[in-house]
Amino acid sequence: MTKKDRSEGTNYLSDSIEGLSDEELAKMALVKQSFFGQIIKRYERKLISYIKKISNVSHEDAEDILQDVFIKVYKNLNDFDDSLKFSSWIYRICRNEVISNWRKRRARPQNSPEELDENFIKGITSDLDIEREIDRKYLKRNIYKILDKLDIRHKDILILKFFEECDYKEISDIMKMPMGTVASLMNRAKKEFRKKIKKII
Amino acid sequence: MTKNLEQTVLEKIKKENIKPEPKWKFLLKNCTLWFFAGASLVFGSMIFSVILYMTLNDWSALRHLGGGKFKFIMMGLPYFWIILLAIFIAVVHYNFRNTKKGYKYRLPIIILISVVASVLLGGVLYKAGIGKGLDDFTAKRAAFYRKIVNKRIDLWHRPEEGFLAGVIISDIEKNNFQLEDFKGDAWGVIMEDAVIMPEIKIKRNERIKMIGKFLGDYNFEARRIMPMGPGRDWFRNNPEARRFFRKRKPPFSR
Repeated sequence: MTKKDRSEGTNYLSDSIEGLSDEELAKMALVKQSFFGQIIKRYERKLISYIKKISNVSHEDAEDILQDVFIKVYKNLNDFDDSLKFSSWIYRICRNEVISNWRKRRARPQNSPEELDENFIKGITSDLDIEREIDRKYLKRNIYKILDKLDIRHKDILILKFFEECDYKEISDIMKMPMGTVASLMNRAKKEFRKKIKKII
Repeated sequence: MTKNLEQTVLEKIKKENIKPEPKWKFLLKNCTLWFFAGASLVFGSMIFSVILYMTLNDWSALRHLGGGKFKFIMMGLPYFWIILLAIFIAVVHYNFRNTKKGYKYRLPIIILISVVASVLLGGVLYKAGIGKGLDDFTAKRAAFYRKIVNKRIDLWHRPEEGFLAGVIISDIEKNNFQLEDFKGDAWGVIMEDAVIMPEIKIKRNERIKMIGKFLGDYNFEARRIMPMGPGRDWFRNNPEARRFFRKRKPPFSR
């Protein structure tokens, strides 16, 4: 086999791995660890951002938590239930890990998560029906502060809905609660968010 | 950043020889939760059969009470078993909720299904005599039976109000017999016009309860005689009851 053949072979393998679904990768990772590397690649950025939003930890702390999350995911690969989306399952593990780290991490200095784009703010103000009441630029600057003032479960569910763009079924699987409870919790969370906004205004 | 974290995690997995937990462990965990949920449901049903046995038994007597029916019902409710049933339903909920898909169901739905299943299975177990058997078993062994499990025994020891229960300790002579109540006191009972429930035969050692009239000086006129039902094995078999009967005054023989 020439060097060129080997290189083409590697590219072909890499392409075929990228073509696999998360669920297929999870099955393959049980046989070969390198497939698990692909899972890490796919979820690293999303989960880092999610961890920072729900816990306000620094990037370094978020990476530490994420390392533990991936180790836990690897250990529990055989527990993955096909009836779930892999993304719901990995977010659930991540959320649980953040909760278990929450107490000790809460005392540490907090960092602001990343900047939000204009479309996101447009979406959230429209969905929460607060377009007329608040200046978008102001909301963009202060949304994390407002979220921090909410009940922890309310903050959690709003982040999943508006930042992670999860649907109700996914939120139900991540937070391990019935769909009906998700709907009522979402309503209460939106109500509290609006209330905080009105207080600020 | 991406490369670093991926490498760090994979290296850690390799270095610490971390392996995915075997599938059977997760299956075992899930099966254990289902097993405990199922077992708690069966125990809950058995408890419900005792509740049925205890409440239905006094139902016929209720019609023959004058006033104070509500008080009688409230005093006679088997609170011990009701609390125990609630605990088992909570255990069913806890175990079911922690199974793989248990979180998809709302608390009131799980509670409702547990209660309905306990009632249906409990009804079948009651018909099969499990309620009676479990009450007899507890009555014989639990030292706190009279004080906590079955307060009805006290309910049927209010001779001045027309309620008396105990063990027949003599042969029947001219519609009269002697009865020993749970405190060890002997009573002369007249049963001339009494309605006797078909389930019992008035004979020595029979455990009965009566609605009637207090005639004073340890004499009682029975108007309705019923089998003791719940708590029948408490008399003389329970450690607490034995202490009472040991203190019994002579000359009454068993």
